[in-house]
Amino acid sequence: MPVSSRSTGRSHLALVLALVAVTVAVFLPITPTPAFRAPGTRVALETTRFLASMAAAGLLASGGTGVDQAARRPFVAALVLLGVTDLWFGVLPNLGTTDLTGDETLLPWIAARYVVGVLFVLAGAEWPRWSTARLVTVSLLALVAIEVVIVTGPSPALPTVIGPDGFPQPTPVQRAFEIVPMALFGLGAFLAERLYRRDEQPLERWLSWALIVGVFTQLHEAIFPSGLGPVITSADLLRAVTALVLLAGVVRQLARLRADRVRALDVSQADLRELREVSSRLQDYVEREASFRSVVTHELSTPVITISAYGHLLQRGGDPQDRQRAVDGIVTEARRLRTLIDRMDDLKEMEDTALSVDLRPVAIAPLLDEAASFGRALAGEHAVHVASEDRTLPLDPVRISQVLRNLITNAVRHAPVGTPIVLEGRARDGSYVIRVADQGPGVGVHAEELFEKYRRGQDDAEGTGLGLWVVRQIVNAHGGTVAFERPTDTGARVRVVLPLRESVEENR
Amino acid sequence: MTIRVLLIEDHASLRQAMTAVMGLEDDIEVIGHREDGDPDAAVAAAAGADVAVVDLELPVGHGADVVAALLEADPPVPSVVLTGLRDDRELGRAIQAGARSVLQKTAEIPEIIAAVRVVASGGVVLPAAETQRRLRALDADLNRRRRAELVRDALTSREVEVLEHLVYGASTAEAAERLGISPETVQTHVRNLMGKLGAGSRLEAVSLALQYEVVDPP
Repeated sequence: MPVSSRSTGRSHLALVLALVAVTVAVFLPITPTPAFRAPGTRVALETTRFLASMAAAGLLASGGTGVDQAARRPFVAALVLLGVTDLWFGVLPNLGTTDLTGDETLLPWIAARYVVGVLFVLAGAEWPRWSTARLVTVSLLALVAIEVVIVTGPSPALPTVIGPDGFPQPTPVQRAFEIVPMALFGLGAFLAERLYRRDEQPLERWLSWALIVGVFTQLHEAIFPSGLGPVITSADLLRAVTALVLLAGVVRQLARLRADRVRALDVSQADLRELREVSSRLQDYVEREASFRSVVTHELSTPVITISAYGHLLQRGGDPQDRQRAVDGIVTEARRLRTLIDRMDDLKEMEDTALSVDLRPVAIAPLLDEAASFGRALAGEHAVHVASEDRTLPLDPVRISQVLRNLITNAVRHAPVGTPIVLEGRARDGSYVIRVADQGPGVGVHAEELFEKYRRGQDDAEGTGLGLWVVRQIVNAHGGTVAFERPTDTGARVRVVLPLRESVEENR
Repeated sequence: MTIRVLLIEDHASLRQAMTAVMGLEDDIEVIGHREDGDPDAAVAAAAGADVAVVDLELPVGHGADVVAALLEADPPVPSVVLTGLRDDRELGRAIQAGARSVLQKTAEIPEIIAAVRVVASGGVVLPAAETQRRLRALDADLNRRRRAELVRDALTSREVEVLEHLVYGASTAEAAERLGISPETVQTHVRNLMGKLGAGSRLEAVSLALQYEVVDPP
């Protein structure tokens, strides 16, 4: 299996730390540092160990939800048991006592380590899959049972020999007793490391290291049994190291949990932003779809019913004059439908993609001439005059031609037959002003509303309500403006103002 | 007896077609037309008419107002609404105004002629199921508007400002900073506006505020 450089680095670090731990652990056992009386320090040490074990147990039990918790339960139970026995045999009996031997508590304390060892064996065997509470309860009951046996049995069960220096001396039986938990702690270290490789929770690795220190503590105990009296020995220092390693693991685990939470928050905020964006896009889409559908059904229904009425008329006979009118009507309505379809394409294009313009320097006069001849072709009976000043300005010729054609079409549609339509173009104050004027009825006070989507003029039964909206979209995209001049006067005058030079914001 | 029809339709081509089609029927005659939705003008034009065929979307005014005005004329003129609109609320509004028949422009010509005959003779052509649905849609819409109006009136301008920040996802602290007031005051405003909106949570308050158009969507 390929090993990533990151995990290799971690393995190296673990190896170095393990070597340091081994050196310390081996150095301390082979150095029979003289024990000294320090009841207060002892209690403090045991309390620290108790707190470290409990904190580690709590974190291990709560952290990493979602992973298989069953494999961790024996570890949680073992840590609880270590904490409880530290409190039970280490802290409580030492409060206020000066007895050196610690006879009454030594044996149950060793027994506790056996029970912890059994928990590691269970973890290795992945059996039974009990809950943590059940494991702790059963372990404590076992411990109490052992305590009862010890108290009621021959006393002392494991006699402590006090040496000439006044401190406990090892006996062969004691040494044998201490070796077995050593092996079990070694198994625990191995299993905790395996757990770490699976879950990658920092605490599990530090627990593994703590157990390695524990192995050497047991080794030390086997060589120099120290008992539990109010004295400090090398074994106690090793136990302190164990506690510190565990505490370091707890700190790392807490930091990890915090980082996870911060990351989760970041993720959820990013999700939220994205969700908001998607939902607003979706809403846009739904609205566009609804307005598109409404314009299709609504605008199409009038020509459809008109054609169907004329069809009915043709079916029913009627005089030749009626028949001719019906045929003409059908042709007119078909043309209207065609216009609608063309406009639909415009509309759809515009709604699918935000209207884009491709600005480049273009001479405007030819575009105006072209629009004028389009107007003349549209309605032979209108005189379309053009008066333009040529300038080159940044514009999209296709789009601007569309604007001019729309405006000319409007003028032709509304102005009485025979009246002139005037198309003017003049440069003024950094802008190019185009004016399309007709002699029709004018637009009235609601002129501005005509630029809204689907809005039709009062006498405009043929339009789709899109022409002027499209005009404004295009002109705005050029950074220009479009409006009616003096809308309440007779005759409509549309004024388009385009910038002569490209500015930053209109460059889109 | 000939049924005299008034056409109120802004689309000239359809007016001509309908006039020709109805002229084919021996008992129907189009006596006049209007191109806009001015109720008074419609009443004047309806003199002598037995029935009016009314479009809903008209320049100046709304077809539903024309329908109501024609019913109040002396003698009352019943209306057949013929519209391209498909929104149930709009059609409901026409029914509520007193339209005796509401047809869409996708209807067949014989169907329209039949409706004109029934309505002219004092009848009603309103299929129960769709009429009920349309009136309900109108009612729901009116209720929503009324509630929205009540809520808008009840909220103070400060509460609306707080809502505007909430809509953009601001926290209490952020809203407080931007409005230059204390977070506790913001909390109080939020509590009050939630009460007025009948919202159980901030999220619901934001959702209702958007629905009632108290604030603009972000």
